[in-house]
Amino acid sequence: MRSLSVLTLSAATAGRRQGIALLVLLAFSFSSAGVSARAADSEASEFIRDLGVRAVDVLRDKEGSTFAERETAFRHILVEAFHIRTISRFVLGRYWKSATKAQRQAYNDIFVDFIVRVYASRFDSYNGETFEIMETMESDKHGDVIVRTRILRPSGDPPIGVDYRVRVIEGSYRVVDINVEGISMLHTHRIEFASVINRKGMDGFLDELRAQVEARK
Amino acid sequence: MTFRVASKKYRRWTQVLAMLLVVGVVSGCASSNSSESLDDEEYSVNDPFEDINRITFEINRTLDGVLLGPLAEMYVGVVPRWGRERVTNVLNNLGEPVNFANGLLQWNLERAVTSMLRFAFNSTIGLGGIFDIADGIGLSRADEDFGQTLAVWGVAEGPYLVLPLFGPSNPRDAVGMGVDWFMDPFTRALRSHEKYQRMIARGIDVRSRFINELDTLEETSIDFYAAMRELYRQHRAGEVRNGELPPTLPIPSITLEDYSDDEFDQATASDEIE
Repeated sequence: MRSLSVLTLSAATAGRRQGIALLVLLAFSFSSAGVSARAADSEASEFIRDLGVRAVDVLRDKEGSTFAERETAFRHILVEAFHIRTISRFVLGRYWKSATKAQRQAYNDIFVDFIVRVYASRFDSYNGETFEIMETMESDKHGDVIVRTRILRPSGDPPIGVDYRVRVIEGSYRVVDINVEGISMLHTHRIEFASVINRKGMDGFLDELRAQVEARK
Repeated sequence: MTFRVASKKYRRWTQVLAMLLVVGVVSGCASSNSSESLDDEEYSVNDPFEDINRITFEINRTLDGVLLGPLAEMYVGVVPRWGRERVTNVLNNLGEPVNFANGLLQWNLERAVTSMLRFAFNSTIGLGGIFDIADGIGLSRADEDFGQTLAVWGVAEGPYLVLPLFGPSNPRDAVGMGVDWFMDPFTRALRSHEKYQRMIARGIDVRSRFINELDTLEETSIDFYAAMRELYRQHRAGEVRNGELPPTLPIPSITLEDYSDDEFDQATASDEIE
């Protein structure tokens, strides 16, 4: 888009040597566009690398910390790196609209606890895994960047593919979805939540969330 | 088996296949009704038999709890990792002809050839599949089954089904499982008790590799059935794509409308509304 406007401008003003000028401008505008896109990509992958390193640091320290301490550290990382508001709102989907103020409040209060519980225990089986960043790709939706990574397992089991969907929100990079081996965590929770709300109603669902958090305390 | 019998059998299968293609296409059309808003879009869970599925799911879970689970745990406890990996490799190797055939049917020559070479290398130098030497030279496993082949041919998955013993499935994958069974040369080569032994071994092998994952999922989900259903559907879609990046699902940004009666963050919300 930008390169196109530069192009028309140059075509109008270039005069006799417009051919050369056009070529130069063309090359310039394309290369600058390329660089800026790549810079955004590398920033996003740097963000994910940083996130991964911090998470592994927490998980690795099993002797020196209790599960509760690791969970607290994990919560800090999660709240900082993930955009919880986008995630929680999206996961509740259409039921957000029909929820009462009190129900929304209760949901907001419990959601972070629930997510931390779920993922802290899913990741706490950590056993010397390392990760590597494979590539970053522009997503066709919302200008998100997909950072593809692999978790390498010391046991020699096949690596696990984990894709992070990263979005710039209020000026900083935030994760809005994790995709493990092609399975979107957000969409899985969304379907699961919807199923519970359908069967037990909003209050029943909130009770389930609370019970899940309590059970693991 | 004479040619006549074989061709008869074959014809019957073509009929069944044609019928299923029709069913698949019809159910595909039925499930693709468009929804009005983004919020509704991703709820198109095709599970009309949910009630009976949940019952079958619970029966399977009970069976798993008293039989398959303990067997898998015993197996992990008794056989060291090295041995278990050899078993996985041998069983995987027996599956290569089916991978090859389906790679071919999908006209994915790269994956078909990979499966063929893997079978050739691992059956010989790999000592009957005990060692996956093909993986070491860059020929990694290309799992293809007839359910995936049908998907590549455009057959929709259809309604979610929980099969007794076999677990999560759908008409497409259930048919695929049957077709794979018939196209598998080892089904014919093995005697009947050997077939079942192979099946049981496969069951324990697969289950033993997911002990922790399944436990954690069950512990951390508020609706294990719904979580499994969604995992199965997305996992199968991933297999059909052969690990390519999934199509980006919509995760809309939060709009002003959502903020307007939002209690998340009053300060930000009121700023943005004004």
